[in-house]
Amino acid sequence: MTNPMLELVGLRKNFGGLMAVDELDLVVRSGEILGLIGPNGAGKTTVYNLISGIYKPASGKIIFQGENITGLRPDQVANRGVIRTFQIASLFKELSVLDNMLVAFHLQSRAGFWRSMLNSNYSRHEEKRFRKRALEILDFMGIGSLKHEHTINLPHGHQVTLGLAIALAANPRMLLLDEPLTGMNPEEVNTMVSRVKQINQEQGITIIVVEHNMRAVMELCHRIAVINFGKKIAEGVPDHIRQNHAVIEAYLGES
Amino acid sequence: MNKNNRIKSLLLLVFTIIGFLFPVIRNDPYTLSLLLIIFVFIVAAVGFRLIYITGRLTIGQAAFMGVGAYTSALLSLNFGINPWLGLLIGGIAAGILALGIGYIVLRVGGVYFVIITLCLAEISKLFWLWWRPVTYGNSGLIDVPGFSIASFQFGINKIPYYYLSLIIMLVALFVMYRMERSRIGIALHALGQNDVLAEHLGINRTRYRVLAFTTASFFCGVVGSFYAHYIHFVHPDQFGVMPSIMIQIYGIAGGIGVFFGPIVGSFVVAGLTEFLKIAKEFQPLIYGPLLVIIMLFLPKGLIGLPQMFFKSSKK
Repeated sequence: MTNPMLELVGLRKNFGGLMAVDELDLVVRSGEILGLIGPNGAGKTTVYNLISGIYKPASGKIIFQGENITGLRPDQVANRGVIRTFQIASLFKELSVLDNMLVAFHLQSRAGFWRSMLNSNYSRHEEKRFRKRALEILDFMGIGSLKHEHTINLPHGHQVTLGLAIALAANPRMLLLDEPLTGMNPEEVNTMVSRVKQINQEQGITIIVVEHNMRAVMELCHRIAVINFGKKIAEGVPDHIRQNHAVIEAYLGES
Repeated sequence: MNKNNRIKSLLLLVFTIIGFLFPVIRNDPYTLSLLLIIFVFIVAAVGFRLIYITGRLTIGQAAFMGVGAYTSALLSLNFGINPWLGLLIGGIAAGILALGIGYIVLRVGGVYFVIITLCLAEISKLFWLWWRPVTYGNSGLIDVPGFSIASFQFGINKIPYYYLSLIIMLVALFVMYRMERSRIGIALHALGQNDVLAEHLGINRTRYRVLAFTTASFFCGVVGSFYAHYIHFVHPDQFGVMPSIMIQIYGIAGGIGVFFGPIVGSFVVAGLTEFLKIAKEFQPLIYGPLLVIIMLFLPKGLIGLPQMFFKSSKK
């Protein structure tokens, strides 16, 4: 068994009386694609918000590569290499596609305040390097030709793709994808699934996917965890999950 | 793209040269004093925009001009500190205050931040009125010393003041322009457009907003200090809500979307105000509707005007 990349230990979060995440234990292994599924309102996005630092948990711990990252701010979590995408294509709408990408290189910049302000050789070289890398990623994602477009003019599918491209540009060790296939046609879904697989295999990035498209989840993920009402009700390989009674009940109701 | 940049640089150079040669061409104290005040407000308006691009609209920037003005004027009156040094100290005082206040209030967004900055402007004014033993309250500070170089006193001659304000403006604009064009600027713009995403890409939102706020306020402090030593008089009314709103109007009417928008706005709107002085009490009657028309029909501000024109003629 490979090392755990991310561990959630007894994680709890409530909104008033509503227990959104309840004593959740979850281990994400290094190098895997883990599917996180569950009916609407099960608490999947809340789990993401807890990991990425939007919410602070009521209790429990989040451990990333052996370091306790519970309660850190989103920018600090990102700094550790945990990068997430958002459900609704969340972009910098007034910037060009390329500029959107350049924002993501923020953490990799070593130019500092004065060298940036003085437009030093170092910062210019760095800028050039980032641009080159941004274009490589855009090409890889199949949207290289759109680099000068204004983001607001892109169709939905391209916006989602750009969202993932931005996350990749941030040089993640771990990606949290929030419904990356929403609103895509079957062809786009296939392309996206194979890209995510490629990212995982070629770059060795550990990935968690929250997604409702079951066929895609089964095909994409090495393991799947199912949560309902904030609790984990099943965990295992896709074939195992498909036949799990608790899971079928959660989705279809008791038989 | 590149050609566009070259034209822009050329235009900038031409305007800078005109700026430097202007007193030679037209040595008219009235025009010079008008331009000089416009330069002061350009610095404030461009600073206003620097904060705006991070997603925070402030209507309290005149408060920081006040801090610069009072700091520098009081130091020169009470301790004989040289006004040249006062420019720097006034800026630093405003900057430090902005740093402290910024860390607290920049966490708040939207209309709440607008209201807080409005209160800041008003509080600062009330503070100068209240601290009578030092600021002489409503009487203001009089006989604030002017600048001098060695034995040469600037005196009532407008030309040296004109050049000083021109240089201060160019330095301030250069620094703020560089900031926006650098990686820092990308982070500032990112925050303005989607601060949740920006934060998830590792940008510390409070720190970068504070940086923009402090930089803009530092330069407000410098020009405030310059203003005090130029008109030799400091009064709380100079730095209340109204000048803050003027700064905002210059910025928005000129075009908040681009760096040069507030510069154009300051020239046109301040020039217009001056021109409309002949209308006396009817001034607001012309001035108000004109601004409404700009807001309604020029969403990109005055600077968007030629662009609109070119586009429509192409079609």
